[in-house]
Amino acid sequence: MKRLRFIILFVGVNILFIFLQIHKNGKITEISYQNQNKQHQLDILKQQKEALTHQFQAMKNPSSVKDYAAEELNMKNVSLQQVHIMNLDAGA
Amino acid sequence: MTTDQAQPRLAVLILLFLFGYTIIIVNLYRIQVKYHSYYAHLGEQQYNQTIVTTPSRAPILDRNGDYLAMNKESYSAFMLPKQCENFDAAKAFIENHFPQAVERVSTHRNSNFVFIKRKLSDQEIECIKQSGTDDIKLLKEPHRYYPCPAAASIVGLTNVDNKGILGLELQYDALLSGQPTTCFLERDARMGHFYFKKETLKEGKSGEPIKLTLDQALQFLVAEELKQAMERVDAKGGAVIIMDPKTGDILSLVSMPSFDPNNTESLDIDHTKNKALSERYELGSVIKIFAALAAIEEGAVTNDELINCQGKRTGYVDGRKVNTVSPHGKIPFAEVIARSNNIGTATVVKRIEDKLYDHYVRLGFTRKTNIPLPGEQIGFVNHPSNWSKQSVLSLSYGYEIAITLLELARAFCIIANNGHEVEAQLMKESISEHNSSEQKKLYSQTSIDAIKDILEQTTTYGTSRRAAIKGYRIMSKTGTANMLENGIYNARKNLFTCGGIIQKGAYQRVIVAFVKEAAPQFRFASLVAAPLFERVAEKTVLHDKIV
Repeated sequence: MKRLRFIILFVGVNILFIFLQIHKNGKITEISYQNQNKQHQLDILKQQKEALTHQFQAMKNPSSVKDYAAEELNMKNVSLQQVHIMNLDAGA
Repeated sequence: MTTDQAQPRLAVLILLFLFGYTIIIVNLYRIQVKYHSYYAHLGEQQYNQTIVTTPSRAPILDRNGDYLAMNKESYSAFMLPKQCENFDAAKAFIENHFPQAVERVSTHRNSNFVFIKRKLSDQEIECIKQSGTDDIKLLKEPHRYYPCPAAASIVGLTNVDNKGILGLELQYDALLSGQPTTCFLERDARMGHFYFKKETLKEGKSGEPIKLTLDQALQFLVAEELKQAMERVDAKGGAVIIMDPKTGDILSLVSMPSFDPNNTESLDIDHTKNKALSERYELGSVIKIFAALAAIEEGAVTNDELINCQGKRTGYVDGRKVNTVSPHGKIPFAEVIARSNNIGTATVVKRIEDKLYDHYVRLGFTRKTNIPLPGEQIGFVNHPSNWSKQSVLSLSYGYEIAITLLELARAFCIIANNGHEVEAQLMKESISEHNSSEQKKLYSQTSIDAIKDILEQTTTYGTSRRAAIKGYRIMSKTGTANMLENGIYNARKNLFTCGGIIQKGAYQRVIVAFVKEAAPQFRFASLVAAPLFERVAEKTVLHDKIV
């Protein structure tokens, strides 16, 4: 009886270890998969960020800004004579 | 069913199983033993993969962190001729829309891959999408976008493979590109980007951004002004340089004609050169200010000394004929330079003879600025050993000396920086190496003050009057020079220069404005380059909010 119990216990413990080992590997694979998915998402986001930066810079480039200011806002170049320093402290 | 009836059926069943197992065993033998290496290799190919990841090309930034060169994804059209479902239909489409690729596609009929066109326009992408053929595919590729085309001649250009071919893109190609990373992946053949194990075989390096001393907005404003000035006088070329004389930072360096780096289909290779440093010119009277500096530093003259300019347009100095634009009698030396009289200048400079050469060397006219742009020329000053009797006279008013505009700007920086040596800087990171306290003193303060006074007088009543701006100290000098063509000076083709300093309090900027070959009615730099100097100076102070 004792021998049988020992064998059952021995086999049981081994099965448990094997299960734990498989579980551990499964978990590692799962986390690795999640990690790689996140990495992939990060790469996509980086690409999107670069595309948006490009779009932003294209809109911000001096030529586009000038065209927008002149055509949409009817703005004109300022000459130095038109610029005056206003001393706000003196008015207070 | 009796046992006798069941026995043959059982035997058939056993035989079927045996046959099946035999097939399996034979195949196992073939896979595991006979063709082991082949299948092992096939398996390895599916499960093990070596991938090379190329880092994205680093950007080029201006002094404020704004982009001068950045990455943009573009589409390229390609096809896989061997796997084509309907090659003839695809070829017909290519003939209609991409005729330049027809020959390439025809000659690569049996290839695995062939590009049809790279860097497609939006219309071309749409056209391919609408075509209905699956044989022409689109591929995303990174390429460069340049938000400030006015900086094209400095920033340069990359080719379709994103490799630098011009300017800083070429000079710093390795730094900007970085190094690719090589990785070994162990993966399931059906799992896409997922892998079990990743091992880095060769660690790469991401590209390093480059920060320049240029100011993107100022570069644009200056380019606009130069373009307008060239249109006004119908000129063939021009350039403007703006520098901070304290640090040597080049804030703007515009050269025209230039090119659009975002549209290189009709690129003229001559327009890709930055003429401000890749060409040297005999600049004429603008050089007088440095001849005057040399004479004052040598104690050969003072600003107040009366100089006999002989009262005529053609005079003789040391027996050699010297022409000047306007006749003047006896006038102070400062006025000689301010009114740009060649006879008076030559008379004074004759006193220092070949020391003039030493001063031109000291001012850096025979030395590269060492900014990291390919194609920079070194200035030429005729060496005293080659001098004729005329040479010292010619050198005093800007002939027998050919320098780049950047060398000229650097020399003006020395004056602005109170005689201290200044090195031109294009890379923002290196300014710490040039601390003002470590700069070598090249000229005495007395000489510099005298020269600044002459430059101011030149702007007040002399040839640079049109460069003046009310409320600012403008110290400038103009120069008009005939262009040398086949060994003869062509009086109808001129180079117009106006160089100088704008100052208000501690704020200082050195500006060099240059126009090449204006229409014949524009004969003097005072009418061509001085107004350009004034416009650029105005834009600069407005941009820098120095009002």
